Amino acid sequence: MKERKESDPAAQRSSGRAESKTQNPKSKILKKLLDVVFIVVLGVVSVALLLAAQSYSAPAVARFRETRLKTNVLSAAGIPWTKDDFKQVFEERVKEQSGAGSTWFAADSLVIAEFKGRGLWGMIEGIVVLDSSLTRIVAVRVLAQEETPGLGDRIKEPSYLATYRGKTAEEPLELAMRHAATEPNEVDAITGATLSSQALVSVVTSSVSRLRTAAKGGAQ
Amino acid sequence: MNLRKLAYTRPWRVFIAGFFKENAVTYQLLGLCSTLAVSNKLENAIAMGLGVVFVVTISSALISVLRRWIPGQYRMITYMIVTSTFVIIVDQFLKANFPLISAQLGPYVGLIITNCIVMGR
Repeated sequence: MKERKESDPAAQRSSGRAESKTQNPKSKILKKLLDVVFIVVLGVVSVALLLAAQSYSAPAVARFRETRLKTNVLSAAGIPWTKDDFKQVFEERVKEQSGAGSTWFAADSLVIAEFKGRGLWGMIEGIVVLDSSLTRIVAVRVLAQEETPGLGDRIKEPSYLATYRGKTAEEPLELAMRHAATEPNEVDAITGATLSSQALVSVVTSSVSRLRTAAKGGAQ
Repeated sequence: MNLRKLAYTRPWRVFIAGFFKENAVTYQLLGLCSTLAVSNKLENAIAMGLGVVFVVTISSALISVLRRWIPGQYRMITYMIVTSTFVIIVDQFLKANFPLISAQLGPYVGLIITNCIVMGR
């Protein structure tokens, strides 16, 4: 009686279920079947909606990624660009090269490569800039990341990424923990975000070594 | 005259109640994650606000329509599927049209799913 009084949907449902118990087993099976059909239809409809949304946004996302990459490569190489002419500037000043299964960009005397690797939560994407002799890191830029907001996402800040400037490209980088980075192969860690800093270090290190082997092979 | 009459109509009272008394954020303290997380910039707050309003409105409406057909045991699953579908649609829309705002909002758009305003009903 008490349940009936509540206008709560759960109570209505439970009373509905009690009614269906009195029905014969055949309609019970039918009800189960209808439940399955409902879930399947719901699933199909939602997947269709998601596919529509995906195909709607895909071209715009691709355009945005291209713009982001090109403008960042230009900025990292110190080439001035504006919103209107960056595509043209990119074509004139930056050469795309490939070898040993990877591609990189050559701009002026700099060698620039994209990187992508596992962070703490999601993928970290960015670019790394080496000097022409492939011995020093000129700059690292993070273009996309999904690290913890407020902690790990500081890896994207230019003020943090400055710690990579001038570091060696010849040996693997290491995270300087409990002390400031002084050695040429050490970079600073972020307090409270050691795992994200470590992830960025390993992603950058592997992309630098890949770029070095590829670009050296291309030069010979 | 007309205005005074308006104050006593049911739609008006429902509308006013939505501001505080039936507002999930102020009354049930649900959805605080999307309310507080990225309201550090006007554009972010507007984008997030519109996103939440869209998702909650559409999914509540859809679930109200489907209510009689939703099987009791799969209630939560249905709510999850419906809500997350619309959240992902909002996320894709933002990515396509406002990529910079989308980058700022980061994972918080996805967290609309977990704010469970719809499920709190």
